[in-house]
Amino acid sequence: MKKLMKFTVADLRNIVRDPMQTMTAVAPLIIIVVIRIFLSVAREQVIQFFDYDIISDYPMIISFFSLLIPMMVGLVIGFIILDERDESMINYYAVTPLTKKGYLVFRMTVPIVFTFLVSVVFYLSLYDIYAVDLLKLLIVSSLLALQAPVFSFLMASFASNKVEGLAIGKLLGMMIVPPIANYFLVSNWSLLFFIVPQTWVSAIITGKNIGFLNLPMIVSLSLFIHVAIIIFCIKTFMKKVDGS
Amino acid sequence: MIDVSGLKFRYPGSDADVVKGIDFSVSRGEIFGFLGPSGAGKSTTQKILIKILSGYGGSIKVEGNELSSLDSGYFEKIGVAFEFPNLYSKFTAVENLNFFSSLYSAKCTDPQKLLEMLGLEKDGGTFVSAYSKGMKMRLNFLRAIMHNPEILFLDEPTSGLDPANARKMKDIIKMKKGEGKTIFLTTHDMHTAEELCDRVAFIVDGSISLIDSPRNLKIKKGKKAVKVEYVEENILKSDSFPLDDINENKRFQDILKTGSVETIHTMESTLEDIFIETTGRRLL
Repeated sequence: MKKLMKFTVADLRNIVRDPMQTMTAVAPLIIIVVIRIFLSVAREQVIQFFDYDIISDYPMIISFFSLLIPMMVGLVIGFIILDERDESMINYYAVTPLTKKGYLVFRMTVPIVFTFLVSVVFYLSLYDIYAVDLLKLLIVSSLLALQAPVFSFLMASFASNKVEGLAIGKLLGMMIVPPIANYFLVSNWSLLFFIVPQTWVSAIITGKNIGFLNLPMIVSLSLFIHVAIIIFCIKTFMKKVDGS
Repeated sequence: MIDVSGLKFRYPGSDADVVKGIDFSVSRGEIFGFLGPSGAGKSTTQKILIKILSGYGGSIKVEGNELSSLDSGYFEKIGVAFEFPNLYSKFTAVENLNFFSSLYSAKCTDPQKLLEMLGLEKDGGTFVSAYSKGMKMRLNFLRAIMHNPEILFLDEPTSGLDPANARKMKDIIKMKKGEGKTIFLTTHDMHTAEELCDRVAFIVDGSISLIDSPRNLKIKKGKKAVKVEYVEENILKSDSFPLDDINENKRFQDILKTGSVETIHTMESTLEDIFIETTGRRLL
């Protein structure tokens, strides 16, 4: 626990000393403010111009914005891992009592814990607009938390520098398309979207194309998808580190 | 302290061994030098000894225990300074030392005291990104000794250092030896090896061709003679004389009597000469 705290403090130090990382790190908090303003303005405008009340789409819109939280947190930690990879820090950790395995555990734990906390704050801060029940909140926040290291390790695996990291981050942003498509498409083919972890979060909130599964099945399947992707990402990353 | 026998290693996907069955041992309180050109297998051997590489053949015993069976407690006992310093560039030197010391259960030396050892005391608050290569190398070395490890693995420790700081670092290495620490030095700098090492091993193409103390090597392989430079009729001349009967060598005695001697040197070989003679390769 003491080591985790030291790691967290070190990460915060790294983040505040880099303007780009600082901006990315505070983005989840900005999202909370933006969505409140966006929903109140957008609802009035859509009613005025299209005579349609988007209040029924709030769950989809809110879940869509929540998907940005692990992306932002994941990218910030991804930048740190990228620096550590370039400086061969991982080889150094491997010869300390922390070991390489311990390093990977810390690198996963920090974004998971932080994303979970921010996701809970995010949904609770919008409780007056969309009242999510406690069980859903815990499941969704846990799944969002598991998505953060996916972004971190994918970015650190495929980017050679921070500029490439940003570009890859944008590319990974495409992962929020399947949940939106799943919301609007009613077809058996939409089940394919559930290969993408983000679709689960959105579907649990909106209930779209997921009604035929009971809660234990939803939790098991979504966890399986998330964990399988995390394992793939870590293996990809380790190949990159060992091969460099 | 470290006993290696029949050590072999092959990288995954490769069809040849990089390390081809080498044997050596390092005693407690000994500075053991591993000398060889790039690609000889010395870094691979060090990586195996510090457990970065696993899946070796043969046996490596550290204090009687097989290396592969040792847990993370082994890393409390070793200190490693890689050839290329790996530090957090956005941290100051003190922040780096404080952070890394938190990874060890042993009490670490106060960062300020450490920095004073290599003349970095005024730069403790400077970001590492503003450090020169030599300063980073010094900090890299200090981090390796901060937890007072029993075994030190140093890869080209004096590379990029100015003579004054290289001197200080060598003195610290000797001090650590005096404290009974075991030091495994990987280098291709024969001057550093000659000065520091109790014994050196020459490694080429994954095999050790020779292990001995630098002094023994120089005496065994060198020419037992002295070379004298002297001035005769305003011309600088030189001559060499065998050591065996030098007290009876009339010509040598005559030159000494003239008082025109400029220099006298024994003609032992340098480590580099011996390396080339033994292995047919240069230390590059």
